[in-house]
Amino acid sequence: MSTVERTAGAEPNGFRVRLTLRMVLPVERPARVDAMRLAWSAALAALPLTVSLAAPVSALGTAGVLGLACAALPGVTATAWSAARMYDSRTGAMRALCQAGAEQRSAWVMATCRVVLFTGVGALVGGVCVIVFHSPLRRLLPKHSPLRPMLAVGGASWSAALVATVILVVLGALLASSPAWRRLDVLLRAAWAALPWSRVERVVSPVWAALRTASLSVRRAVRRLR
Amino acid sequence: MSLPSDNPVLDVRGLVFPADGSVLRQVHLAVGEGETVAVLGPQGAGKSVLRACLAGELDSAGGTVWTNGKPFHLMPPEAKRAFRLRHYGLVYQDTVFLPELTLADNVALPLRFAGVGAARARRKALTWLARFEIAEAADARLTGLPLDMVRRAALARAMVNDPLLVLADEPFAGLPSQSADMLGRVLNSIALSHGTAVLLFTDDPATAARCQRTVDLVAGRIAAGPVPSAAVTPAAPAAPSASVGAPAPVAVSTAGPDRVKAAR
Repeated sequence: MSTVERTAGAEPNGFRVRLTLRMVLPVERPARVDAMRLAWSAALAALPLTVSLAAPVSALGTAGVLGLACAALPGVTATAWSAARMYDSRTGAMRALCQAGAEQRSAWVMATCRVVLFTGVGALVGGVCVIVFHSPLRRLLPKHSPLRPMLAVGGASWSAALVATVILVVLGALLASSPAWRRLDVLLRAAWAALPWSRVERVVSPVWAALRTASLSVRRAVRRLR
Repeated sequence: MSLPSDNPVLDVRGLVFPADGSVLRQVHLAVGEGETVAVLGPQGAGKSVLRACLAGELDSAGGTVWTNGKPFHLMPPEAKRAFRLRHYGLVYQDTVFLPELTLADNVALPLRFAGVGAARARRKALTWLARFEIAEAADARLTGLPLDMVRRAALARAMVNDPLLVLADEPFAGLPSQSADMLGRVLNSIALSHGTAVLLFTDDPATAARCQRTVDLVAGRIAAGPVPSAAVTPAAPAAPSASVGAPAPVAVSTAGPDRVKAAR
């Protein structure tokens, strides 16, 4: 009788939890960089998102909404981009787990935990920063600033906005690191390549590559000097 | 549904995938215990689909798959997974390991998922790593591990649960012939000593030659193929058991270990 035959049972929950905890923190440097980048991007996206979710509807004028949308753009873009970069590591982890015999659903959960954790912590940090600093920031703002009335809300609204922000940013990151997004990304790239102004890219790409090479050489030289 | 009379470890009859048979048409195949059989076919012949159907990762549209006398094709997905975890060893062409775990932990994973304790699973993993001569890398991380070691670790992971059946998709791909020969010998000797049936899928005749028997998969059908001239004399030669259109006779080794018989 095989070893497994004697002891086999359902996938043990304690083991799953321990394995998930081991998988959450990346050990390889590129994976660590990707995860940290995702956390910072989520924090950046959470700043305007928390304000817009906490603000009373009456305070949301056109200028205010436009301002918040513009402020959210870099963070949201960076979050989507960073999460999309984690698609490969996420699917790789899921494949490894399935190959080792994990149940498909629990493999998905375990492989997704890193994206959820880093995005969640990032968004939480961003949201908490807004909650902590909204009062002094409000005092610093000019009287007619569209942002000023948005920051004049109570503690309950901030708490609800914080929870909603974390959920929204995590869901966004999950979407951006999903196969559906990957397909969309491929389609968008194909559409971009079909556009006549992609010729610009053809000109810009070598320049960009040359700049990157130069920057790498400078970094290497600085490292050698150190 | 009646049980196959000769009761081999794996008995496949009339396997069809998908419903129109465009990939697999009436595949008949049988593998006895302690036997290593190569399914040889060009790319696109349906090898990977056949492997996935036999492993229960794809649902075939017709035919039967009996494993160790059990109707594997009739099992619901969750039962198939549990059965696979207990009795199957799978080697994937694109083997992936978790970089967060050590090599030994990765090899022990199938046992851990099956509910075996950490210490015992690790002991088993170390035993199999030693058998494939990579025990010294047991506590190494996976980053930058040479392909040779990855292939050995993949085989060790497949064997760690003492499976009755190993389905190996290109297990020696990319290896120099010396390493592949060595792994082939180890696999043959393990098959004989443990009574494990090994089904190896490859498009390389040299890899197929390392098995006791070769069957050709051509356009989704198994055709009885000639044993390549470079074939190493098998320790326990078995008669060819695959044929077109009819259930195949099976040579079941009589020297199978008690483990297999107990599991039956």
